[in-house]
Amino acid sequence: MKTVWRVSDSKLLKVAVVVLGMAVMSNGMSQPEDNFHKRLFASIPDAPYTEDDIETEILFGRELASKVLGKYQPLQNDQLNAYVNKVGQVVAQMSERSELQYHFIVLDTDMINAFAAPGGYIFVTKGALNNVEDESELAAILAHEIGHVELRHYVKKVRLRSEKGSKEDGLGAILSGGGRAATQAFNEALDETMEILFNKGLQSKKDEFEADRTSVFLLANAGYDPTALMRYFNRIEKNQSVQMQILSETHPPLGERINEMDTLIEKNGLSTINLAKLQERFNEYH
Amino acid sequence: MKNRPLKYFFSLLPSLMLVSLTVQAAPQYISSNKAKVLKKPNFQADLVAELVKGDQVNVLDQQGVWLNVSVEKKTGWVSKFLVRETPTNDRVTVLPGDDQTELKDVRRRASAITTAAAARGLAATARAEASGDIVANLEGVRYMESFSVSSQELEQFSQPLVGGR
Repeated sequence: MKTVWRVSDSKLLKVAVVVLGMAVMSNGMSQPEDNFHKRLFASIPDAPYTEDDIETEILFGRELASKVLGKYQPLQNDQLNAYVNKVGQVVAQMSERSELQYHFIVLDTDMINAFAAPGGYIFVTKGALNNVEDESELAAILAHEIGHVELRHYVKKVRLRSEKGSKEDGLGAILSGGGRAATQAFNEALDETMEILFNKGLQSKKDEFEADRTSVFLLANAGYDPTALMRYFNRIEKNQSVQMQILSETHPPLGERINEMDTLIEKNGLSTINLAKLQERFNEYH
Repeated sequence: MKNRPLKYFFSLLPSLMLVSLTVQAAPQYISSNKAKVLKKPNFQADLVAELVKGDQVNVLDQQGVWLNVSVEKKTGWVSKFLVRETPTNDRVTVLPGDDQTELKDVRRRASAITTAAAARGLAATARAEASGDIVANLEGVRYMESFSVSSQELEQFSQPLVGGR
């Protein structure tokens, strides 16, 4: 006896669509992603940045750098600066923003902090270096700042973007108009970013946590111990001196940042890997 | 006769799945200057290949922050943070700021004024008009920019990082 299909074609078609849907989904679906990664990239729906955007960012960053170096002089120690620059370049090689030339310098102040200007200008203070125990910790501080540049935290905060890339009248649009308004807007944006760096902070826990997380993966990719930033934070957390004041006022509490990083490191199996710390080499230069 | 559309559908199923597979394996690009392809999804795994910015990889699978990729005839794992769907811009450089640059010079350019060109001109003007009490230290910026590292030096400096210590 011949088998007869008793189910209607339409029902079968529905089943077939579901089967196909599942097949395509299971194929296209990746392993459950790490939360950090989801959060990191879900929040960047921007149009691609043009070369003009990037050039504007570098020019703005360079001006900001000149102001940072007006506030705190560069440490006049060629050997140490050259070393810090090399460590920074090792990490920067792993940056997704390889279109930038990163620059690193030590600031001659006992304050414990580090800063980034858009375009790749990174500063670490003498006070911070005095609390660092090995090269991986120095790399971690620089990597956190590279994270701010990679994720364009300051660029977004002062809406520094060419008119092509932005639907709103960002600073970029005002600049391309030229004239006094542009000069004033440029100056105001510089002053605002200086305020962010030295007084207000980014006022975004999310931005700081993202930069910490970026640091963890930049370090691991470069071959440095990914727990280095956590180790450094654990040490300076106990420091209640006046040198910690700006860092404390412009960033989320270190305890919270340590907990976030700890979770991330555990989740990704990074706590047990044995990557470079390079204490001896750090001591040679510092 | 009645079941013909359904038969067509099922006969097309493998092809549709194949199309979807092909889409997933679309080439992606190394975005960092360097990227290691490792034997396992682990930062200490053995090296399969070392890629540079712009190299194409085919993504086969993903595990957390790791992508399983094929490149030429090799397969391995690369950190997801080093790979993008579109190629990264080439290195962008700007000429060091010139104190003499004036906005009007920039505006005389034949082409439409771009934001970057405006910013370049503005930098000097803005600096001259800045009312803040912090004096710009351009000499300091030039000192900062003077520390360049050749790729050979960097390679040598990175040696102790291989394998951990």
